[in-house]
Amino acid sequence: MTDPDPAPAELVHFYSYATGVSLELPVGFEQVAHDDGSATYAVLGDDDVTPVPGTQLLVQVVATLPDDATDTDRDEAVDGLATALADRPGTPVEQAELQVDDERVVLLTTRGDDATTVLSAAAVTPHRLVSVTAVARDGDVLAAHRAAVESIRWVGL
Amino acid sequence: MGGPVSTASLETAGPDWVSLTAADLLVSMRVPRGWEATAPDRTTIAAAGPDGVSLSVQRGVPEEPGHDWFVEFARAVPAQLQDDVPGFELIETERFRLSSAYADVLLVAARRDDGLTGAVGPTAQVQAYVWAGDRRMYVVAGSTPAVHEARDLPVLRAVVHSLRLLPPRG
Repeated sequence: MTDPDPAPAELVHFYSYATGVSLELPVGFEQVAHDDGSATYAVLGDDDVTPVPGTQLLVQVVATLPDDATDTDRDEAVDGLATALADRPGTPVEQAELQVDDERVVLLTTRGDDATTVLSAAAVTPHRLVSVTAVARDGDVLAAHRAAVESIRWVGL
Repeated sequence: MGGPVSTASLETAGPDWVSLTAADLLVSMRVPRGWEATAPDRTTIAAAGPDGVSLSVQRGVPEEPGHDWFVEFARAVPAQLQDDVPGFELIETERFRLSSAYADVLLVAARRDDGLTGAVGPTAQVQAYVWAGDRRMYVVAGSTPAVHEARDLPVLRAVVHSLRLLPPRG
């Protein structure tokens, strides 16, 4: 017997034309800001306006790559971005390499002095160098941020 | 007559699957690596794999406005298919929502053998209807030769579950 009116999915899909990134976050997250090259997602507080601290995830196009960029150019770009992300304040916890939607992603986890955990990711698509920076105050949000990175599709429209 | 296929969806995020985006249709999905995609027209994208398995996604509009129409449509479709399509054998239906814009999905898995001789012969099929508001609806039609039902029906279902709808450019 099928449900005549199924419950909403547990994840919400977001796509930003500014970043070309498609990703999924748990229900409750919203896109809270965007500009020509970035989109920010977070859980909103009771006022439905202010993001809850420790939930934000920022996707940002850091650079645009030329059409004739080689694989070496792309690898160097993502390595350079990963180095810059690793140089941010905090205590490094983990660095890993993933394949997300057929693209190489360098993932870094850093613990801040204020009990936050910052998840950073550097990725390069055929034409865009992309960073993801997410700040979490608890493990559930951190897990949601990591799952969001792993859910990315580099749609690129 | 075989038993029902598993309702568990295959994991499509892994390296054996790739993303396929149709900009004109505002849709993204995951298909097995190696499937070949074509765009027969501006409202349809199709993908085909080995041994005759294939799937198409066509964009249209609902016949009537309002989600209530789709609820009634989804309730009626399985019986209509059984009544109207020669050789149609329902395996199971599934209702779920996508992560995109609360899109509501009816998925029908079935076997079809109309007794006609032909190159294809009996098939196992997935038909899905994706309601995404008053102005956007998708029909997904997947098919594979019946001999590959056990292998391919879970794949076709997983493709439907992987659908993400992109917002119109604002």
